[in-house]
Amino acid sequence: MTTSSPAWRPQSPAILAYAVAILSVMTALAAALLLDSFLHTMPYVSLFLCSIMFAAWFGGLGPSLLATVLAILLFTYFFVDSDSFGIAPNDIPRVVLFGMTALFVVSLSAAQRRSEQSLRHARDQLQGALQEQARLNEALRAENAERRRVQAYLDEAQRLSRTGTFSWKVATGDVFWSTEGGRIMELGSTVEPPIDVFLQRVHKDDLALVQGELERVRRGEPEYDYEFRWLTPAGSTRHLHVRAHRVRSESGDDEIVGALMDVSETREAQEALNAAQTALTHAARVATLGEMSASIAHEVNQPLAGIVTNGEAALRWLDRSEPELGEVRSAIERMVRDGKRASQVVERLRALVRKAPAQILPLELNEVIAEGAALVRREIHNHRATLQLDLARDLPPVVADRVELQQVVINLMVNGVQAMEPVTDRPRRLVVRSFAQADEVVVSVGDSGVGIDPANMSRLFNAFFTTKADGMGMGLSICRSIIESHGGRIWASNNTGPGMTFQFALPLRAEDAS
Amino acid sequence: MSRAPQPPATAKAEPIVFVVDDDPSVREALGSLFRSVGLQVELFGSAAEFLQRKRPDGASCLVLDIRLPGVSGLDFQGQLVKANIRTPIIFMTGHGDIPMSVRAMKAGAVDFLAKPFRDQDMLDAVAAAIQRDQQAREAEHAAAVLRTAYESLTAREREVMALVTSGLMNKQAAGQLGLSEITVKIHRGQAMRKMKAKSLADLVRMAESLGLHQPKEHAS
Repeated sequence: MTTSSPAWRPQSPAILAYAVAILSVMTALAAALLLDSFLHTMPYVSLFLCSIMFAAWFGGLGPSLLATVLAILLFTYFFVDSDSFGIAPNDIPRVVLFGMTALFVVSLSAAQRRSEQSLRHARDQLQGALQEQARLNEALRAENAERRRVQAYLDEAQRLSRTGTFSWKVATGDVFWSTEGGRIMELGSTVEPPIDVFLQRVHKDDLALVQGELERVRRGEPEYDYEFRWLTPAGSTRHLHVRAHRVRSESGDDEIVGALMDVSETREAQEALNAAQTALTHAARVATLGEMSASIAHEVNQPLAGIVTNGEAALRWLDRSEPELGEVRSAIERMVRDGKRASQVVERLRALVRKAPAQILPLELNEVIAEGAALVRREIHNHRATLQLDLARDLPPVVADRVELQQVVINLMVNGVQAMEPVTDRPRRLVVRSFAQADEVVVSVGDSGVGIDPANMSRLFNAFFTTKADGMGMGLSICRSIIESHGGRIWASNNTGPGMTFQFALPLRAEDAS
Repeated sequence: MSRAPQPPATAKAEPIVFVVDDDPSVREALGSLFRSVGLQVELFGSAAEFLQRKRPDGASCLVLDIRLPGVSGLDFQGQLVKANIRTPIIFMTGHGDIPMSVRAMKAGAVDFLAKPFRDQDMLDAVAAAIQRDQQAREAEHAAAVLRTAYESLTAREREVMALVTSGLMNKQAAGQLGLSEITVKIHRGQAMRKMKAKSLADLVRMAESLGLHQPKEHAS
């Protein structure tokens, strides 16, 4: 029975309460008259008090006072001085006593009723509070479940994306790692490594970088974005990418909050791609040299033939009855010159054939062109073509890999020579130019060959596109990837006259500009 | 005699070796080598330079790189043949030029040397080529001398010479020409003197090298 208002005691309107009060007094009077006439007892006082108590209990203070007044009047009329409202002096004490008793009963009843009411009120309040509490609890439970679900999603998302989160209170050094963060570093989520233990696991080549970033934290920089290699306890290397920012607080107790991404797979794929690219570039280079092998052999053979013949001539000059030492000297001088020349050719070849990672250094583009031309010269002669070098003086240096650029130059020149193969009605001329414009250096290789169908122009640099019967279609595609990896661009256009021109542009000292 | 055309000068001039190679290493080394054995040498960087030079009076040979810029050694060989310049040619080749070597030899090259070559091989080849040129020049000279002498004969003397060298007796020749035998004898003696023939057999050989006897005359 927790209902707030008991059904057995109606919250009656006041008129009903007063009616009940009158009725209860009348009932008590009737009972008293009946008891007086049949049993000759006179229980007026107790019956009237009962009726007042009932009225008080049912109706409260107002109706009980009405019942009291009514009972006193009736008591005086019927039982103190029969059939009259006048009171004999000796009866006054009885009437007063009755009245006082009645009032006492009324006040007791009213007090009891009031306390009961306040009790009921308090109980109702308590009940309401309890219900509110239950409702809050329910909401909290639901919220908790949602939070756990979100956390689970977050953990799963972190696991799938190999992204951990961390926060680091700079002042205290307290570090929090998300589960995935701990898993990535293979430290366990509960372990908070001190900074020196952390640094021990950083790849030694990246240590300076990481320490630099920590220094930035100390300086109070707002943003962090860097990559480093991490050695797991199991001994493997991971590539980690950190992005974090500083959450400032009024108290100066800044916190670094960020994400830690395991980008090993991306990096490894990138490295594998780079290695494959390097291998392909190298293979193409070797293939190009292979195509020119006869010319290159000639290039080495020529000075060797010179050396041998000079040596033999020198011996013959010495063997004469009067040795001609002047002739011997000049023969030996030519041998020295030719020996140097042969070794230069071999050196250039070795550089081109060597399988080495790219070395990005400032270099003179004109030198690269001249060296490439030296290797291709014979090939050009063999194709009855002429080479014209039109190189701008005082060309600013570019930052690039010498061997790869030479590969591009050689490739474009050999291409041009081959494009002129079918030409019989005009001079076969290959013109190589270099010049600077705006913030780049441009090299152009023009031929007087057969040109290309404009419809194929857009596919010219695509892999496996070739117009040659025995071509692989890799040369120009590799040229493009080399030039683009240097931040440059390469393009081709048909000449207004016969033939076409390939050009590439390299940015001037890109690292200075950035 | 003074009215007769001059025969070419005899090959008294020193033999010359011409070297045509666009590569200075080989060119200069060859120059030194040939000079060391006392040969006269002239060096050229291209076929065009060589063509500008006046033909030599003496014996000569050409040492030619088969791969020349602009015009190939083989084409150059063809140009020389067309221009009736019969200087013997020794080709130098790089590695793996066998098809070119075959073509060069078919076109009349004296020899073929792969770089780097032995000096003795080169000198032998040059000596052989110069000797060949020498002989060709001597044969040419002899033929020219003969032709000059023949041109100095009178028409009658030529007729007599043709008939007697074709194997006819003096009398038969006299009969054919309607001359007396004595007159034929005088013309024959005159022709033999002018031709510097020591005997009738000598005169017959001269008539053959002059091509006086066509096959049909032999058949008659």
